[in-house]
Amino acid sequence: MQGTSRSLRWLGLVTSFTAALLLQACDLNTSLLLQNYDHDSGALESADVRDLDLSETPPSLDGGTYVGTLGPSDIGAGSYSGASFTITGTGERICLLVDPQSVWRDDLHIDDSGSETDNPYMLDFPHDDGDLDLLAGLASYYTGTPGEEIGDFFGSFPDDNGVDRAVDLNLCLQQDYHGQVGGTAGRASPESCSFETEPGTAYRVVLQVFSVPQNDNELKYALEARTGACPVTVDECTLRGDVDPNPDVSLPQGFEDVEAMYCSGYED
Amino acid sequence: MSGRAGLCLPLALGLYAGTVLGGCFNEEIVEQDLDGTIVLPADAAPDPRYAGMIYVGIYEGFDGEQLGYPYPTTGPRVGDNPIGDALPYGGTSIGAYTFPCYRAIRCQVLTGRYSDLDALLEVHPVNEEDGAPVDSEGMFDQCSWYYGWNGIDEFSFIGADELDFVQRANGDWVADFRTWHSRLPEGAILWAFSDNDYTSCSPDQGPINRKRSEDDQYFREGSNFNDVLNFPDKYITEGDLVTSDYAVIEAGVTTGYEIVLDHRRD
Repeated sequence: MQGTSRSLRWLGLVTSFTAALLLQACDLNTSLLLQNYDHDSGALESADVRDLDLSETPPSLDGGTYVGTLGPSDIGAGSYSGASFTITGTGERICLLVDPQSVWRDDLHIDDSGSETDNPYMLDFPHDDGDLDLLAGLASYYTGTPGEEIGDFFGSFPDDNGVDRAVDLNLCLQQDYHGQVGGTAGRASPESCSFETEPGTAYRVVLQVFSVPQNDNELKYALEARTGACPVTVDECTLRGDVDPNPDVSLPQGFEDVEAMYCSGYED
Repeated sequence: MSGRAGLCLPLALGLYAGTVLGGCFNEEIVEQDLDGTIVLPADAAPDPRYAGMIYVGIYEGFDGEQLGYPYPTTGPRVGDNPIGDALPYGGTSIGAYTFPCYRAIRCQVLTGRYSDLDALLEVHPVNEEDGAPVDSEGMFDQCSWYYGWNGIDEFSFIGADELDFVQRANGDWVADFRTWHSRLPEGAILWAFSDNDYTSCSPDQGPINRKRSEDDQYFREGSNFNDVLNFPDKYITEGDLVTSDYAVIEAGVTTGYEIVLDHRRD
């Protein structure tokens, strides 16, 4: 009887000790998993919201490719990083294109013997990919504040039955894999859309940061607004500039960045 | 049992019962289920096997002008959308797309329409690779291989007890429906359409193939598009049936509604 009591006491001690160990193990810092965690300072970066209308050379309709950078979204606080700018409608269809910083199918490399090896020119893969989502609509419907807070084009109205209805007034409609409207391109993939405009009406174009490259928390992107419909094919080489310059290795044929090597390397 | 224990037990039970009963309260959720019946007129389809997927929705109102055929009220047109979102309060379908074990008749077979395999093959004949028509025995074997079913009772898309429609004395076919957890504001309407040519089914959606196909190709079993109730016009084509005599939702009434697929789109 006495032996049983001692065993139970030991069992209780061991159980308590195990529980204490397990509880200690729960003290994890999950901030490390957030895209806005700064590994150098250990702090969380706040959302980076930019009003491109205030930049020295803001993006404009048929103004060529605009290249910019954005910081990580503060997912924990529920606020997106991103940028917005305004264009004035011309009465014609316009096309918007954005290409977030990306690499291509170049994490592997075919060496001289025909074998696949790590690509020496892309040692960062896949850590320098980012994802931007593109929205656009009438500037008056935009729910964000340029330079302060990224918003969207969701609105609401009471219907004939007195029920409050939500409506998405985003004009930048993109098709998903199944041809359904409402899709967005995945990581490192360009997005594009086109829509008819009213002359003299202000339209706001919005870039929402979905993810940033892990290597430097800085997402480079190329952006363009063109008159007319979008190209039938939009790929990584449609817009140029969404790449970190000066890789750590010397690139062949004198190329300065991997995008140029990828897009122009096989040209005659 | 001591006197104290005898007192504690009823007390604990009473406390427990009080807690459980106290947890029952009216959450005042505005969404409710709505029950009704849909009528497929006898002159519209010889029997329900020849009718396509039927969708029933609850909408803000009725608009007979916008598209030239009976249609619900829509929200604003946005961007390149040719028509606005109909913004349903809720809805349901009569039957569901199911994969009938052969890719040739994918997106054509619905649940609740076939009493047995012969009844299915009569409407959706399919051939073997050598061109010979598949019979019920061949389809049984194919489905047993594809799904791993061992008996005819396991076939999810056939069964005399699983039929959605029953026939009235006047020859019309009638099916019950329930729209789950929907807003039911007074004045809203119940409206329906029948997609007779299966436009609303996407062969690129639904579960991936459960067995490797003979040609080693990856494929999907097919399923309906997810915006059918929002943009019915995308899927209503010539020959489809729609409701012109819609039902109006009455305050506090959640059962007893009946709508008829009485208009065939030209």
